[in-house]
Amino acid sequence: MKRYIDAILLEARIQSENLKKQQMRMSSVYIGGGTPTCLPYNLLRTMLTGILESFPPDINTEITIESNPGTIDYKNLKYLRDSGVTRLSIGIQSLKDDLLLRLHRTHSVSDSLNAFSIARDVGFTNINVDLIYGIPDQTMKDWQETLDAVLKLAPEHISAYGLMIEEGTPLWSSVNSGLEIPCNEDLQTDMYYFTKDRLEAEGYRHYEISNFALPGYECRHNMVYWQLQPYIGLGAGAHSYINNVRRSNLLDPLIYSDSILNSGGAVQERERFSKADEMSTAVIMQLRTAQGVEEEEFKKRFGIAMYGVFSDAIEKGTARKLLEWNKGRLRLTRYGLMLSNEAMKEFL
Amino acid sequence: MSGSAIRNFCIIAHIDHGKSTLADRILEETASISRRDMTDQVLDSMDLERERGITIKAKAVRLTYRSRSGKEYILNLIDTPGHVDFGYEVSRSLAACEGAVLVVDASQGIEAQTLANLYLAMENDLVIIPVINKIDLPNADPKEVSKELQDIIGFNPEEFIFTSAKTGQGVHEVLEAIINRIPSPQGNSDAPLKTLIFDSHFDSYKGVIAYTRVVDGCLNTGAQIKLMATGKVFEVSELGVFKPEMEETQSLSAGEVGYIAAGVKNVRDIRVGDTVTLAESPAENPLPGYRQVKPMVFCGLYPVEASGYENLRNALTRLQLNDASLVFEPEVSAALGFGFRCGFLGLLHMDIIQERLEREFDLSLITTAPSVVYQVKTIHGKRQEIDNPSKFPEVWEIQAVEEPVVRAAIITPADYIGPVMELCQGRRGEYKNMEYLNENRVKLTYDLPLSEILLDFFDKLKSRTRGYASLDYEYIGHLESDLVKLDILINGEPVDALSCMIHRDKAQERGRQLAEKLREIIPRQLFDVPIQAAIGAQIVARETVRAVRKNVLEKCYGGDVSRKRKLLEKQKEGKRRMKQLGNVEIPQEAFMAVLKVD
Repeated sequence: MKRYIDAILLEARIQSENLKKQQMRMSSVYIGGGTPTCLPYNLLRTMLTGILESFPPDINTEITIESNPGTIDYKNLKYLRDSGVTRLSIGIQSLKDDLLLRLHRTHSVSDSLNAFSIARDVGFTNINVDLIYGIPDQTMKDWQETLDAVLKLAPEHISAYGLMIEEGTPLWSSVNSGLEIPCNEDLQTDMYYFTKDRLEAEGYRHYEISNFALPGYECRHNMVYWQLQPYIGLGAGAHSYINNVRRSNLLDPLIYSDSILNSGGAVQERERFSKADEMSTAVIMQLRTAQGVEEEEFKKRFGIAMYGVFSDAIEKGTARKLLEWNKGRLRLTRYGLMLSNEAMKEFL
Repeated sequence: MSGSAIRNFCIIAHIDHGKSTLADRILEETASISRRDMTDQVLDSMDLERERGITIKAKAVRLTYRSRSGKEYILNLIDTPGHVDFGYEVSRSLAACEGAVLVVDASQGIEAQTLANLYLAMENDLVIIPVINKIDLPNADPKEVSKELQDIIGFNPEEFIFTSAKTGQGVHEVLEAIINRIPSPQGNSDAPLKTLIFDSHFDSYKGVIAYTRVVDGCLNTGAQIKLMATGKVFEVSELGVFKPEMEETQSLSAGEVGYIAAGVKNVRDIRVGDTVTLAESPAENPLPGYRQVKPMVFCGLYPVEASGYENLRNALTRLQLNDASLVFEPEVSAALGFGFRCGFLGLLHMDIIQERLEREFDLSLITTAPSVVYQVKTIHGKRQEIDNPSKFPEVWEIQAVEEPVVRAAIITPADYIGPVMELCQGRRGEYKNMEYLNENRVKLTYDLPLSEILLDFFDKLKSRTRGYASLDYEYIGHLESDLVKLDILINGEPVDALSCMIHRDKAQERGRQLAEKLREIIPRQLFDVPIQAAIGAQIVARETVRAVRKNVLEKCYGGDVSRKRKLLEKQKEGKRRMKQLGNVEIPQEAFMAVLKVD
């Protein structure tokens, strides 16, 4: 583990040098990939200190760390807050113990509530909670109750995802063998729109397909992805996008570490986006956001009118009521949010 | 080679009873194939034939055999297809032989098609050598099987030869029986030339290669030949025999089997069943030919992409060079665009052609449900033959519809008589006869509409009899029936390629099944899609494909961009393979849905 952290920090130093050469600055740092807070305290410290050395933050830098309720204690959260982490994301997932079991999560509802209150105690004023709906056997009532309980916590940001049953997970095998019946599409869709309406009524902005925030608390880091702005991923399996080149690191942490420490690089795949790829990807990613794609901005960025490039996709999407124009911006309709793939594939 | 040392024979057997293995052993024994070139089932040269264990095309091979008495013989083995679809090819092979080796599995007994082919051979006055094969199997009962054959055909007990083609046991006895029991051909080499064409294939260098059996006279390279049916004249560019590769000879004379190449470019100019004679000194009368084969089953074949139309035409033309029984003509479907209406001998034939088109020509095809040929009498007194349900006249114009009926022979263990009869009755069968072959095995005869056995009859028969029953059928005529056209409407629009003809009593049930099946096959669209089955204006079934509500990648961050693009690309690709009917996207397999209902 120590070796892996060393490798990440070395990669950070190398990338930081590259950035300086290109005169680019970091606007946000996101420490994610599940549960960095499960690191032993001293390693967590080593990592955070090292990264902030390579990418010195300023007053405006957003620094987020992901966490799991079961791995949080006062000491490590206090340390993180004091070292300059500005935003904490907690993977609460559900506020029903039986449903957490269904998700094969090891934390409990009381772990989550406890974690949230510690986070406030140590001074976090920008907290996200991750939620999952559409869990097998979850009823609309269960979900409404979870939302109610979350709203009582009043987090600044909420990410709510419909459960995707991914191949290879324990849940996938139980569904496959008939032990669990996945949530049906209609209920999941109803839960989605319920969430949207409920959270909007509470003052949250539905600013991306699965993300809600109080005004001013939109995650700046994720907006980088959705605007298709450059980003650098550090660590095994991490993706970067810089100067129209997408690359991903080796997936296995051991092999990744060896490669970085021996050769200073660990790229598994590198793909240069053509201008056409970049344009379509930018539109597809930006359509995820409530502000959508701004025609003027597109023209400025690519030197060509969006409508000229994508007239068919746009016409088809608007005819099918998946897309709509709003003051020079193209965006998903309310109906189109849950059917966004149908609209987006036309841009390929 | 004098005619008296020639023996022409074929092997009659059911699938899996060991015909190909026996043929392989005979080829080995006569050293026609070196060990090095020995592959399993030498005569089945198409990959498809080997994979499916069936013979599709008739073939011939010339063998040299030194008998126990020390005399050398020429044996011509003419292979026969065993499947009911290819009964016509069997009759062609038989006409070129004086004898037949009947191979029956010692653990199974004789099967329906074998019996049919055997009767055909006996009608042709062929000498039959009954061989009980696979005697090495633990459950072999050669005695019982030979007794059954004695009872049905009247063989004498001493006529039977017991073999295991697998181990080679008894193969010599078969060869000895061939030379001792089968008469040599009785032709006259000095008479005017008469030679029967029993098959052909197309060679891109030599043109049509006609497989022939010389009955009278003698034929030399360079001769001017005349085809008696068409009157066309060609010059023989090459003669030869099959060993089994083609080997050139200078002449072929009475009794011999071989091939003729005459630079003929069109397979239709040398019709199978025609008699070849010499242009200068022609024979007076042709040999009795074959009845013209008529395709029994039709379906539409369409390229998935409209641009594949020309490729499909070329491929069909190529296949037709080797398979005169395949017919096709262009047709247009509102749903599927430009394609071809193709006629086949039967379902297996259809299956094989489709598979060859996809495999050998790399085409992607949409196939519509198979149909038989109906005869329609209109109120104006006209008679029409209709092979495509969508071409049916309006209901009010029809006075009567006749459909093809076959006489089916089913051999089954007596234990399963009940289920088999039930099946036949359920398919509008008319009971004709029941005959005990022995205590345990029964031959049932039913007259059945061909359309009723087209789809899954054979599979159902097999499953109801635990795989024991066998089936043979022959066309006996068209009979009037109360048939209606069942239309399928998707999103309110009739889809011509999904219409089918069906008996009035079954129409509603079939309509319900089809609508249900289509609901499963058609993916959800952005709106509700009603599927209706209708007879005329009357809707008999309705289902709805509910609109899709969710198609979204909910988590999409920095590492998901490629994944997202791939997902969208995959969805787009899937869409490309669908047919667009109005606003609705329909996958190709929907057009075969009718084959998939129970």
